[in-house]
Amino acid sequence: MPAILIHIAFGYIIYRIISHFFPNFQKNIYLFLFLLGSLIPDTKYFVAWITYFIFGNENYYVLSSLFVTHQIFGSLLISLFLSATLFRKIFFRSFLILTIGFLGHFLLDISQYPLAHINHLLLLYPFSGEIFYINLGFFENIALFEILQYVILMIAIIFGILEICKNSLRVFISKIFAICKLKKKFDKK
Amino acid sequence: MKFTKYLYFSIALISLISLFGLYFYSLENLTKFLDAYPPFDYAFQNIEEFEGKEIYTTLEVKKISKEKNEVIGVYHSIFPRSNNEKNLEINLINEKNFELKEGNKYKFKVKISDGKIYIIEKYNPLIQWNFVIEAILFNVTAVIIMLYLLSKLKINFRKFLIEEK
Repeated sequence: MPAILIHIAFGYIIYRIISHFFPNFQKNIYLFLFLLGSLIPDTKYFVAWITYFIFGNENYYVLSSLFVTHQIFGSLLISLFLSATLFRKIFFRSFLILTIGFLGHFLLDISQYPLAHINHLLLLYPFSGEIFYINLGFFENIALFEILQYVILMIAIIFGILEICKNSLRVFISKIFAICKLKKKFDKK
Repeated sequence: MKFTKYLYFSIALISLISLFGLYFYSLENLTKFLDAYPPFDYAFQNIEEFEGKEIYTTLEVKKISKEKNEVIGVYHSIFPRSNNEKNLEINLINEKNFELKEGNKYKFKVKISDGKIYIIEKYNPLIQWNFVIEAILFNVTAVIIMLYLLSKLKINFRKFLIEEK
């Protein structure tokens, strides 16, 4: 499954958990950073397109380029680059959040084993060829990871709906209070 | 103020140069690790190199020929195809007669033997999505969400900075 949505759903869940314990992070910019971080390893597609245009051969060069951002060192460098340019006003925080985001991405990717592409498992590439994986196994010929993906999506949607409801409920209650106050004022007059 | 400006600029520059360095270092070391866990898109185009290997892959079944026990599988590349369109199609031998349906996508465990690709295991997806619908639902939605969030932030083009409104 093309899992960009699942990755940002997972990023959103991480954001909700962290912002619950650290209310300072309850800001749109941090939410954006968590989601952006969870997409960083997939910048491999941009790199792949660039190499495809340069070399015109998708077999060898592109395959290798697929590895470059989809590993801890590559993602770390991209996080560093983004934090030092686009988000330099909150450099340390943005670097930390982007790092948490892409580590969440890797956690999801390695649990796709054995159906994952190799670039999802070689996290320390090119310095080590060791593969990292979580084998969730199968249930009646269906990979349990697929079920996990939909569960993550559902949890994120529920969190999102709760957030929207909470905000609209807050607005609704504050409006009722305001109306009650106005009514009291009129009654006094 | 100027010091931090130069500091961040040098960090950005160093990380970008290191990324390029990492790319070319990766390029040199690629073939070292392919044997241990071959990527299917590379292996299917270089079958001779991966004789006897077992590989996991996701393919869409395009055509089934029951007499020959042959299946034509297709994998979707992220690149546009013109000259090498045929490379996309992979002939698989369904020796164990797994139940397959044309147009459906499955995950397979295959083995390369005698220049042919044999299906050893077949795994079903939880939901059979049409490729286009799946791509739109799971990618375009994500892009829209990211753009919506970005619109809620202040982008200072002059300073090349993203801040909170």
